[in-house]
Amino acid sequence: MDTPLDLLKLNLDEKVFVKLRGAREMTGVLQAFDSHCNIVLSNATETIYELVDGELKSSTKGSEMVFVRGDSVTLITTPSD
Amino acid sequence: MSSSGESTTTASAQFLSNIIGQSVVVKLHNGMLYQGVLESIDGFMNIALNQATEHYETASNGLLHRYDGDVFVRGTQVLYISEA
Amino acid sequence: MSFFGFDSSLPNQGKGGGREKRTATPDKPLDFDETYQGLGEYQNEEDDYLNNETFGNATDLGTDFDFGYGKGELSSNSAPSAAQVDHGRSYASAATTGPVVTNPGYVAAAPHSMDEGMDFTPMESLWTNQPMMMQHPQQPQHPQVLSMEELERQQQQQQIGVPHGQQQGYMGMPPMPPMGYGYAPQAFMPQAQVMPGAAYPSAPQGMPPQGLPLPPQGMPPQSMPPPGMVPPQYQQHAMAMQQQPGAHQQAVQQVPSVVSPLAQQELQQSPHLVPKAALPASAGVVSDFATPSPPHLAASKSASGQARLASPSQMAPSSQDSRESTPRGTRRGSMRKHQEPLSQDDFKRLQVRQAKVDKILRHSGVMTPRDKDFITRYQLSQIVTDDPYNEDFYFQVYKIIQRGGIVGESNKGLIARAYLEHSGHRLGGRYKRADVALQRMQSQVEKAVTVAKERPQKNRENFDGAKEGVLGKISSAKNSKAPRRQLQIPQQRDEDEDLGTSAIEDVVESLNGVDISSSSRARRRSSYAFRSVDQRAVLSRSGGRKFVLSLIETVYAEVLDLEALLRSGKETDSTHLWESLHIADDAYEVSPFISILSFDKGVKIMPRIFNFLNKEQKLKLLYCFFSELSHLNIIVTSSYKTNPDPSDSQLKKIELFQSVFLKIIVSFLSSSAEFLEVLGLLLALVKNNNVSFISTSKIGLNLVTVLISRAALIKQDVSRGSVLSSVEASSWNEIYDKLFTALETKLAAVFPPEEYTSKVVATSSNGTPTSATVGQSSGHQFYDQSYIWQFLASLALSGKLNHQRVIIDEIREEIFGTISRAEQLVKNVPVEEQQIALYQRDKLYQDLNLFLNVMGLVARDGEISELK
Repeated sequence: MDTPLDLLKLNLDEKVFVKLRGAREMTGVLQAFDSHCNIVLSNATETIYELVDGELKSSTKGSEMVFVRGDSVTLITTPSD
Repeated sequence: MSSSGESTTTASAQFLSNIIGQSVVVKLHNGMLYQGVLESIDGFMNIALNQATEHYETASNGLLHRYDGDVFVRGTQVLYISEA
Repeated sequence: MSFFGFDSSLPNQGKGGGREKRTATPDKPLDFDETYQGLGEYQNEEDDYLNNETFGNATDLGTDFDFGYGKGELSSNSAPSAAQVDHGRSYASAATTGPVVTNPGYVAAAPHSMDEGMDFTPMESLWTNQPMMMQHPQQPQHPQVLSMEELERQQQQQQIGVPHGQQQGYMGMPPMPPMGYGYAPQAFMPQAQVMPGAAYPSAPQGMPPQGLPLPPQGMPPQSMPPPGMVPPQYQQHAMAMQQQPGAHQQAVQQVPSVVSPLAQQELQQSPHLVPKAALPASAGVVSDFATPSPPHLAASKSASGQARLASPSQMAPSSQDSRESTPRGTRRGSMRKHQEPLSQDDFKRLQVRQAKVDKILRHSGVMTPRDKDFITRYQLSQIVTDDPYNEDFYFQVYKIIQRGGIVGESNKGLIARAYLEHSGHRLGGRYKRADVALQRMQSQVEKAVTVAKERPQKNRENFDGAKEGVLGKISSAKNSKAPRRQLQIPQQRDEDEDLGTSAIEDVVESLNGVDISSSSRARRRSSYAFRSVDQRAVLSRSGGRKFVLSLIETVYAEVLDLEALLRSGKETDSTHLWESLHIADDAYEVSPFISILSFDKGVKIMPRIFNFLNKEQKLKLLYCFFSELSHLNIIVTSSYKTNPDPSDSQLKKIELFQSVFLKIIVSFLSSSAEFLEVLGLLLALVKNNNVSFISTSKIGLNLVTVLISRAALIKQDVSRGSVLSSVEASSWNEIYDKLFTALETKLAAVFPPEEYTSKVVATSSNGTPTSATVGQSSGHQFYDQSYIWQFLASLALSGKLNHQRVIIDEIREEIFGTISRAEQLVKNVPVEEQQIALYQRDKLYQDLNLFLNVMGLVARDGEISELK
């Protein structure tokens, strides 16, 4: 287990929490990833945070299987729940 | 240092290998600040942290999140890594 | 001219080499004409043009090279600064940039260049009772480096100043605690690094340990003063002093042999720093300082010894200062360092290193090898002794003191006598008995080793012979290589107690730090420690979550490799795969393999793994599996006792396990398992787990059913040709009895309570349907209890009449309950639901009759009658 990506490998098939650019977050089961951080998630929910009239609002989207392009990924971790 | 010609590691590479296991501060381009124990790092500056806390801009700002498990930070997003 | 590997014939090894490279821009290729600085002219070494820079101004090298701390540190701490200054003069700018990496190899030349700065007069402060006044070093020209050394010196002064005052009386004394040099064999040299630190606080030892950090340069050259200082009370030790010279001689001679192992150790710790000669120097110093009077006694004997004394002692103390300061490392031919300012990093690192080395050196040389040797021997004798009290000198002395001694005799005399007895009269020039003492030490070591070896043997005595016999050479997970503390956990508590989660966690916490003996492991498996649904307790005992996950990845990699090999038609070797499963790994309390099974991906890969394992490996795997069944997360999850409210995902997990793992077990058992092997697995299950708890879990019950029915099948399978041997039959009966006993009075518990079954039905209908429920439409699911009846059926089948009677007795209520439920279903039911109700009723009867038929009964239309 040398590199961070190797450590990420341990999370395959586990639930992960991904932070994306544009005030977005995703959770889902990590099916695949690569060195660009392209990610495939299953049973994913995307949460989008927006400022609407000065208020912080969030909306969610669900997908059974989603491919996330690596350049928008900021951070990956295991969810606390 | 590198001018010695006898070793191929650069100062930065040595720094990176030296700080593994230390508590570090990582700042991203978007201003997010992560503090935690550096578990692993690679040449692209991808980072794995343990017990990370998240703040915006400076640690004196409010704690945004505390991550219990491992945190993987993408190298392209990293602004700097420093010893805490 | 070349020295120490410096090849002067190579170009660009001179001063300019580094410079040249540095001025090259990274992206532009170097142009010869542009960058040539006429350095080729310097290649002609005949003029020894680099000599001065390498060796300094002085040329008197001599042949007595000491590759440790330079003799240049003869005087006080001014030496290093002098050295520094000197080198500053020799090199262009080396010293101004601060400390450099030292190269210990070139020490010898240093002193000569520093003769000017030497002060050979003895330090008066050493020989007086006044608090110490150190010579202050020359003001450094190089503030960076020397201020650090200044600090260190000051620190040392402070440290030395305090105890030194106390030590005055001991100054000239050979250390004479009862554990004197008398009989410590010199040949044995334990860890030098540990000793110094330990020895330092041993002021009572009487040694002037501070002699080392203290610049004692003055001391050896004139050991004359000490005798005058000898307080009369120590004259009785004069005798001891006699042996000192000899001992000292030997110690000094021992020193070289000591060098390499120590040097290696030290080198490993601080690669650049520790000069090889430092250690002999320190050791030599110790012998010197510990026996300051003997040297003067021995002066006649060992003039050369004294000279040798002088040099090591001089080298040692200031070596630690100089090590960092001298730019000797730069003398390695290439002048790279002196031109370039040291980076912050290097500086810091050097500081750290120096601090470390200082720490070590501060106390090195306090104990002679014999001292350390003695301590070790003593410790060993304490470990191995049969009679700890009688063999303990201290205890004997204590006894004497307590007793108050015989009237007329002083305590001291008694103690001295006890000491003599104890040490076997090894005083008085008995250093020759070193070999005897060495033999004693060796025998003690052997004893200790044998004792240590025997301990695991004793544990193995608790082994169950039957298990060994049944499964051949199957290794048990109970073997422990490390001795463990015995802990008896209270016997199985009443199962109906349902502890709250916090209590469970408390128990887990308290049990976390405890080691248990192998014999109580079986009991432990049924303890509450492993009853929490989240896997944390188990995971932490099998190496940690990350470790287990990484194991899974390794396993996946292995399987993929093997499958690739298989596809290309090559031979597959399962050894790597087997090892990666960590099944026989004793290092963890809970086998990592078990933890692998707590992850879905671990379970999923099992069928593919089974593909590649041979029968023996499969058996071992199953054996481990059944032994540690209680640790399996899936068991905990599927038991209504520990998980009364299963979530949808948990039900799915159970389903996955059921369909995947049970399938492979069944297929393995039916294809290749011998009767005795099946029995062995069943025995492993019964012996190592709380069977009743297992039976409350669906998976557990299914596993038991599988084993029992398999055994029964084999028994009844006449077509196999051989009838069961008497051994097999009796073993089977025995094991069945064990199983039955474990389940007796708790048979009714295999039926989950109403709340549980309705919850499962509710969750299943909302989520994904699993085999846990059955029904014709999602709205009318009901809990499928067929597995329970199957279990009861197989249990009854293999049992004798009285067994069956007990079974019926215990589940009588359930039997009648099922019948009445079935009848109720079809009463008062609206037409639309009639079909469904009928189906349900029929199913209930079916399941029940599975069991009843075994006993020659049948349930029909609300009644039980004999099966015809």
